[in-house]
Amino acid sequence: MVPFFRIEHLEKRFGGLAAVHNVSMSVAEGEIVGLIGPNGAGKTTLFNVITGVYAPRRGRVLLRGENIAGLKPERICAMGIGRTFQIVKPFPTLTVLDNAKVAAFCRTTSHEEAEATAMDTLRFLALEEKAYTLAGHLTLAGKKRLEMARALATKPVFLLLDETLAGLNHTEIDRMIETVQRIRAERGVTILAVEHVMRAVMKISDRVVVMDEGKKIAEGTPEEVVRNPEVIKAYLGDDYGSA
Amino acid sequence: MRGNLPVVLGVVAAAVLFPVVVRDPYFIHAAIMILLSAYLASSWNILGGLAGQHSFGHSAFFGIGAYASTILSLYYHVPPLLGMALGGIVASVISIGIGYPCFKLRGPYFALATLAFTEIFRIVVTSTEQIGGIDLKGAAGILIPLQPGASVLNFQFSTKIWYYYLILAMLLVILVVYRWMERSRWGLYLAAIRDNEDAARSIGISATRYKMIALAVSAFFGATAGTFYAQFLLYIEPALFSSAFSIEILLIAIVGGAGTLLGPFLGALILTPISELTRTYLGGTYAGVQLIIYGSVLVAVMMFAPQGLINPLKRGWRLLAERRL
Repeated sequence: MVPFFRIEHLEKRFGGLAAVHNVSMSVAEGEIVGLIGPNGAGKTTLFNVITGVYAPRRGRVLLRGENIAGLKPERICAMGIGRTFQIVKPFPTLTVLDNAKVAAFCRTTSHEEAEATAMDTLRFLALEEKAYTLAGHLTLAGKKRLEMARALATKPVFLLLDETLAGLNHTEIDRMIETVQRIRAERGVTILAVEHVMRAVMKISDRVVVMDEGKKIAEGTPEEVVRNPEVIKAYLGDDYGSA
Repeated sequence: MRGNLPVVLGVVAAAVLFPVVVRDPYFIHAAIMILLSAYLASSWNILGGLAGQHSFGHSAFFGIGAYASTILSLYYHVPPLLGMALGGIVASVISIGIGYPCFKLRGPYFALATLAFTEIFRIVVTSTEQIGGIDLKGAAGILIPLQPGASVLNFQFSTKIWYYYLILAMLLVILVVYRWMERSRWGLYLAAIRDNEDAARSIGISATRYKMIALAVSAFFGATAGTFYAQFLLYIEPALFSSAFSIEILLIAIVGGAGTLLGPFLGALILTPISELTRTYLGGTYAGVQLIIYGSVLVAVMMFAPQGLINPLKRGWRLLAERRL
């Protein structure tokens, strides 16, 4: 069986700094995998290598057995990997509907079809009431949902979520957790999510991968990972780990 | 937009009747210059407004169009009207050569690279007397001889009225093309690239390809403006390639409202008379005063209507329309 998604010995450097160092991991179809680690661990860089923003210095990124490392972002999107950005990047001068519609053009050239897909995606994310609002006028929570809507409108098989919960309040976080679970349940999309809100990571992830200083330091179920001394050390420092 | 149809027809009718009512050649000349500026700024707007790539090198295409059609007409007897289309194609092809390296840069770096390209053209043309068997005449420029028997084929007319109608028709064409592009799938791609290129690429838009297309279309129309200018004034010179002229083009679009259909037209309506009048009345005695006035207008617009003057105008129009109902 060809694995759904797999990274092998991935390496990305900025000058002398190894932002991603010899990282290997895999995601099975239908899984939700959490990617955690302290700030600067290389999570976003890893996302950027997977989605083609950066070409890796070494290693392979395999989607259903095909090596996509080094392809352009637009090509990788066409192959079925969608992403959201940690710092939201809506198209502010377009309406919410057009934001989703322009993404839906990824799979069709028909205006009607693209608009139907866009509307359907907005409904799925409870954004349909804002369809004709300019994206720049949404609240942060709205923009975060729009990031998801736009990524979903490209009909990905694999979705990378980069800190979708950061900056949201308690209620918004609960709604977002539910949304992420529905994306898998109803759309059948496999998810890799960078997240800092531990409560959410524990709740949504089947498996968690932990990175620190560019390296993968642990992997396992959420319960295993939080008990792992390496992980505790990475988050809380050496003193705590040896104590 | 549908409700505005009577207004649109009214404006077009007024524009068509203008030279019939106002017979003074000075005003007709001024009107032609305004329409030409509007046309040129609209061609810039396809790349600068729709795609958000603020080129500081648009005069390069204007100059290419002027020189291409003139040389084709003088040396190969190609009718200037055909030369206009050929010059446009030449400019499109060259624009791809310019765009390929420049689009690797973003924002101010892109602007500076395009500025450098147009300066290269200016310097090369200024210092080239002859190339092949063709006299470019360097800094002196080329005078286009009057043809016996003014006709459409020669692109020379006995009265200015025909130039007026030609540039008016050209302006209507580019406005239709702009609106069509804006509402197409490509227009949405270009808007996405303008708003955020990284996000646009992440949803599968090949940013470089669509920026190239916008540039090639923009260059094509910019070059046709150059041919019109050459045939209207019957004189071309290397200054057509100058970066100062490039900046004038983009100021017209930005003052009026970049990325809007009628912004460049509004900008031309305001800025072209200012530059023509100050040059006429103040240019001789107080050289440079026009630049001060120009600069002041620009500062005022940037302070009070940074999105261009078309927006407050639109708001006012909407208020008026509502009150009338």
